[in-house]
Amino acid sequence: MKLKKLIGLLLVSALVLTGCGSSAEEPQATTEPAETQENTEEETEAPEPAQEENAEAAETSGESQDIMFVSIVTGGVAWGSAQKGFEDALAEIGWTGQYVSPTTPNDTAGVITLLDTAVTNKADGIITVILDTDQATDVLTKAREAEIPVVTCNTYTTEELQDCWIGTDPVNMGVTQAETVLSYLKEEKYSSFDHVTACYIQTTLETETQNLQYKAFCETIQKEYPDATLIQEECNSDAAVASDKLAALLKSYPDLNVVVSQDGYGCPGIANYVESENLSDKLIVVGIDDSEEILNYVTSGALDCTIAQDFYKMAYESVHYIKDIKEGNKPAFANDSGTIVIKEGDVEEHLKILEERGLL
Amino acid sequence: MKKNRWIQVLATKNEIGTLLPLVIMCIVVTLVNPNFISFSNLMDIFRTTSFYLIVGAALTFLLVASDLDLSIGAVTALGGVACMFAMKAGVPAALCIVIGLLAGAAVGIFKAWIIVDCELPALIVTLGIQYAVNGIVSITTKGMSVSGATEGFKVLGQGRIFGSVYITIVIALVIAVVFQLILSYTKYGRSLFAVGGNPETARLAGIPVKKRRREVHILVSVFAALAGILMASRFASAQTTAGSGTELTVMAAVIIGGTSMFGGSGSVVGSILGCLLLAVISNGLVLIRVDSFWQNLIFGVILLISVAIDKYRQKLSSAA
Repeated sequence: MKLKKLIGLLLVSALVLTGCGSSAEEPQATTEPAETQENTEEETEAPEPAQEENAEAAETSGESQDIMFVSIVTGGVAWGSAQKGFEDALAEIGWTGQYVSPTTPNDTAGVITLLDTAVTNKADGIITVILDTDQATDVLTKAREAEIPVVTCNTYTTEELQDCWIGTDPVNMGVTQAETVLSYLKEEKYSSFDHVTACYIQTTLETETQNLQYKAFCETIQKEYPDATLIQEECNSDAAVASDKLAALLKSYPDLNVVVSQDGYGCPGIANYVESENLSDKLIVVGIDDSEEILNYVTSGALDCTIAQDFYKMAYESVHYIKDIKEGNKPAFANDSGTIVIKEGDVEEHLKILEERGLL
Repeated sequence: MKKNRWIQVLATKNEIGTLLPLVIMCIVVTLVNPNFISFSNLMDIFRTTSFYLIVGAALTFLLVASDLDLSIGAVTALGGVACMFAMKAGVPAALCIVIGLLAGAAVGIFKAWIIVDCELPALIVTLGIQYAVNGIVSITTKGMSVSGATEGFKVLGQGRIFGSVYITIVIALVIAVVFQLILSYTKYGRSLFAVGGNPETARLAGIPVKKRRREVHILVSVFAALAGILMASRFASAQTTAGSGTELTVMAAVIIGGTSMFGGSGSVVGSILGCLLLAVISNGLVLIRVDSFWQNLIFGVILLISVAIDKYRQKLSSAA
């Protein structure tokens, strides 16, 4: 019995370790430039021979840097693209790096712990996602003292705590979403819509940047439709919750005519409900992100369009910013990675881009 | 006097503690928004309930036998992902469902062995399994949903009987009825109560305690995987976040439904009411236009009131 217990304990430990590594362990494997070279064959910005030369030059001159990307989650539409952008940029420059994230997605404390590890291990540069500035102040100050360049993705703190940030400007994103909706309202398909009752389904109500986006969305809509009814809801990154919330909202607000999704996991749930209930002519539905599944919903008409944030670019550019900082060329503090509105006619072309980046 | 007797008789029914807040909630929401009792809204509520219930029915068995499982959500995701990977590889839909269920069963067998045979605490083991299974799902999918559902497969999660009743509701109801019948009217069901009530006495009475515990652990994992398969069918893709947090939601529903956390008592009927209450609260708060920032608070308060009512009922029942 003791032996059984021992084996069991070992197995559980192994399982826990496997699980803990689910989001962190696999990507933690050092990104060797030579290995990812194959994946960047089609990158037009850095042809293969140049990358090889860079990699060789960096290694032989001893300039190779080790960068740590402390993210909030591993994989998925958004951060999976970011990881790829990070790896591609490292391969291009000839640096090495690790992409890590806490075991529980969006765990702020977990991010801080990983940042502490990065600072303690004297990473040559840190790219991270800061959901809560107050919690991160201490560790970012330590990074500053250790002269480690810090670039944040899609979030930001202050210029005292970090070098620069790149991401979707929340206000611009909210405005883009609103302008997209307003442009649809002018189209013939929706010409019968004489009012706006819109629901904005985001990840959680505590997500600061999404609240800023929502505020900008509301302000832009209300400029043209001052009496618009605007409803903010959360879906906790769960397609089923998003679908159920939309179903209930349609009963609560029978005149609901606009749905904006702000969560890549919830978006398929919304699109699926619209499709199954044949609501595509009754609702303007604006999706988020550009997974193959979401793009298929754009093609099928369940989503009028989707607005993709360029997570690949965020991470890719972040590496280059660190390089610039190390070379004494400080980039601007705030850098907007922009958004892409993908309508039915743009899907094919966008899929090609994703394929070129190795994201499909 | 007669009135008191009625109250005492009602108090002996475990399900009253859930039924009462459920009825009150339904009345309040209907008064504010009559759309609540529209057929389509009720179907939406029942559909939400059905996913909880498929897992909740099996979890009732587990809790009755005095065990717990925190890996439900992860196994739900695994079931869907395993099924959809097989479908993507061109395997026939029926076989894909079997593969999904087998993935759940494999986790269940492993979990049962560690908990029952190696005698390690279920809390930490199932937590470890939750992480590990989530890890497997993340590694295999890279966090991306797995699409490629066939039209035939989609019918399971999206199809309706008579054009209005979702098939998932019928599946959940059939499962719940069968489970309740097993629990109430079979030797097997009574043996679970015995195992949960007092394992030592059960063992002395000749009940294979370990075997029963193994069986219910496997059962829960298989049904969690089934819920994942049905979700994959509903969304025509397996979502890696499917079932996330379900373990606590479903456990709360089952406990609110009158199943004891410490084993030895409970019913699937109570679990149905518990799952229904959670779905009604979620749906009702949106229907009565409660500000989304207040919804979690009110959700929690209603659950606490339900527990308080149940506690009061138990007190009355003991007095009777």
